[in-house]
Amino acid sequence: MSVGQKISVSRTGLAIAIALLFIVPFLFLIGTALRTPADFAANPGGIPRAFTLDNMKEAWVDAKLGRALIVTFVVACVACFVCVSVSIAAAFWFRLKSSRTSKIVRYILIAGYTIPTIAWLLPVFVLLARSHLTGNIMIAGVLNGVASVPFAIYFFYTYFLQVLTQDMLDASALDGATVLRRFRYIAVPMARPAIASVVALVFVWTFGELLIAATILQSAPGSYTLPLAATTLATKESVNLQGQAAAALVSLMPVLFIFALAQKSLAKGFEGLSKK
Amino acid sequence: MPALILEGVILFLPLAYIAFRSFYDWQPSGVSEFIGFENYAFVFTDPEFWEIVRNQVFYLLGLPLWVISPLLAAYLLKDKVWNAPLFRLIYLLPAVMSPAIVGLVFRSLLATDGTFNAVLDHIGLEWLSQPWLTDAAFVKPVVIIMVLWAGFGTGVLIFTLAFAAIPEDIFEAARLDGARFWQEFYYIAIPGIKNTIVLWTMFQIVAIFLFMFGWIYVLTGGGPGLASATMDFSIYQQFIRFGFYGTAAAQTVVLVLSIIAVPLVGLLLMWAVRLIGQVFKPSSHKHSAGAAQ
Repeated sequence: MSVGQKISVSRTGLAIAIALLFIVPFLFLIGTALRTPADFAANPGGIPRAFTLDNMKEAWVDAKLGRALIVTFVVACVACFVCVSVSIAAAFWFRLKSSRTSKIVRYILIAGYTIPTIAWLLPVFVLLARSHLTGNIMIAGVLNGVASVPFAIYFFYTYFLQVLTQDMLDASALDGATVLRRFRYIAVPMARPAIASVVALVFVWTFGELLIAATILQSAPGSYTLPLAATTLATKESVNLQGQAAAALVSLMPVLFIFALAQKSLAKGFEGLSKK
Repeated sequence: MPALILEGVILFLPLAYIAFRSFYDWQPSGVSEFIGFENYAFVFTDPEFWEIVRNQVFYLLGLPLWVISPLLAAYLLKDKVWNAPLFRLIYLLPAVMSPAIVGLVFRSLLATDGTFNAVLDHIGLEWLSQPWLTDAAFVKPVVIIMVLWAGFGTGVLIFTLAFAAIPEDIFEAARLDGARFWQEFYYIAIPGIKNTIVLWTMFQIVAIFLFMFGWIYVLTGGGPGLASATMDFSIYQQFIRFGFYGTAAAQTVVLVLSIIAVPLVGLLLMWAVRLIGQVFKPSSHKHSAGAAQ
């Protein structure tokens, strides 16, 4: 937005109207989850009058959401570590070598993005089941991390193209810096905003991921992730609407919290990408 | 290269393995028998498979909506709006939440006896209330709207970044020439970010085939019947629930091939449209912009 322009009331009004479409469902959700069952039964579409935290507490206990929260956190951290460490090294290597082979390899690795999760996940699942490794949250973390590697390589590579100029690379090579040293002392420090963005994205993605969790961890209720625990609870026949709403609300809160934390670093990384 | 090894072992090798197994009567814990193309023959003669393919094509119809509406919103927020970053942030909220959890939210809101219908009844619009998720006629449009709702913020963000790269003086020059909002949008903004639009469109197409699982699994369970099932959901069901390993493998191969095929067909179409455009109206902005959509 450029400075000194007049503010248009109609445009702002339209923006607010669209924003309402994003806020109102959450208000409905909060209303449904926090009302007393009697108040809800009497007038489900009206303004809530009596509030209670019982639905939330019940969902928290029934789905063991506290435990699920810790599991999800571990899975997401492992995923971030695997994804960032692997892809930043790869992106740096692709930035250094511009041979035909490295170009082809780069395209293939990034094209991995279009392989549907389900296509590689099922054989991996069979393999894991044979070695009795299903239900292992470390493995779920690694799988989530690798699933984001194609995107992260693309992101880091684009970033390096813009911040690591050829002059810089040449100068450091003349100074006799080895590839490892250049990676350690030039590439990694310069990529810090990009690392923050990728970590934030992979964390948020992994936090909400369902397919990998539902396949690998389904058999081990003790290591359910938050989405898996919440959806398992909510798709039970016995759970009423208020219970479903409460489960959804409880699982939303940590994600919102993380988003609030990650918001700034996300914005920085994207700014870095959009600068020409 | 660790990236190469990890991606190779976890993404590409299993893909090759599942393609190999699609020619077998695959029994992961027992002996698998080679049966040639029988799995494929079974898949292609299965009416359920074709219903799912129809669903996928139906979801593709949402594409213009998913591309044009964030584009318009990003343009709207470009200037003269009070606190535009705040609005972008609000629109982005659903994107950071898990599809599974957002699905859960709407599952409770849109249930037949859910809050949405209850509110409609309450404010005297009973005739509007519908079994949104359990009526085969409504469920697919509802899913399209939900996906729009969830992806809208990301689209706005990406288009905003793209708009930021267009030099502001071009817009000012156009305004001095008396260009209106729509003219400016159509003749300057859209051609200026054509590549981003194409990229976003591709991304959405891939997403329709790849990232619907969370939505479908939670929101509708593929139902009613199979009315809202997608390929990834159906493969998951066949494999994990029913244990039809061989046909699931064959269906996976079909899915992978169609992911490669659809953007190719799209590119060909765009290329054809552009060619026709050039034949009838040489060097016009209009056609390349139309083609990009």
